[in-house]
Amino acid sequence: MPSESAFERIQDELQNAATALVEEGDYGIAGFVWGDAFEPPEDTSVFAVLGFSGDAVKGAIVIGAERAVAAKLVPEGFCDGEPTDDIVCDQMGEIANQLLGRLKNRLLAGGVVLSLATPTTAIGRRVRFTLGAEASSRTHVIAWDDGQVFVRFDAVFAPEFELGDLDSAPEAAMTEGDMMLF
Amino acid sequence: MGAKVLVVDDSMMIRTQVSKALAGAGFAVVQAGDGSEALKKLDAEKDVSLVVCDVNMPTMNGIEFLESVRASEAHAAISVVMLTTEGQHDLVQRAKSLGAKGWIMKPFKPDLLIAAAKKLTAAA
Repeated sequence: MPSESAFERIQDELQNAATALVEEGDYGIAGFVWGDAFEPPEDTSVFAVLGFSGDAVKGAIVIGAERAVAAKLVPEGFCDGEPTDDIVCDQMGEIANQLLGRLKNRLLAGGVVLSLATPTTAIGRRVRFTLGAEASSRTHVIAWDDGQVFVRFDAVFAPEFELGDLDSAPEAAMTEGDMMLF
Repeated sequence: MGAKVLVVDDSMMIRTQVSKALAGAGFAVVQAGDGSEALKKLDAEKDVSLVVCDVNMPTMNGIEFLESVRASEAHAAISVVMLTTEGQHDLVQRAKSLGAKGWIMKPFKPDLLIAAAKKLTAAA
């Protein structure tokens, strides 16, 4: 298990990553809040699961939203008419990918190196995600007027897991949106 | 029609958004969903000048694709630029050592992508 402070710092960085992703992305989300009051969606919903592993940690993030909300996250003008299930699922998968990518890049500064899997998406009603006995988990919610997206972080930590000072190496990774030509 | 670009990403959203940006700037665009499919597309489409390629993909990832391209006499001269969420400097250096021409962090800025594509296809 990581120290409580290390786990909480990871949750803080997850919030920072989600905030930056929403603010910089073309998702049509305005005036959102980040919270921990989570109600599992009951209507048909879309989910994306993305695993990760490192030397002393492994786990996954799960993001989910009711289908009607997830459909609004598809950029306007992307498709003619309403987005299909495939498009909505793909968008959620890419959101999970960019969210975990941002978290990964931030944790590099603290000496934590994660390898990311590729997203798996699902669509259905009353879907519940179980948790392994050894895993630590926290569920957050990004909420705004048009709906909410939940973000769940699950991880198993080895006893030797350490998270260094995240502000000690601000250039540990390239910055999102930047480009380098060789 | 301008130079031909192959866009490689397992996300349909990203492939479409990148393709739209490049097509709007006059490029001809073809797509592939992973590195293995991209190699087949390079064999089928003889005049690809530039590949814009994700890193984390199923079947064959972007680094493995880069290794295959560099090992292929037919494709070794094609410019490849990576478009990814990965920001680790050692991964960037690995791609550079394999002959990649650039590294773009998602979410991409269309004007930067287009400028890079114009520069890299003009040099070809």
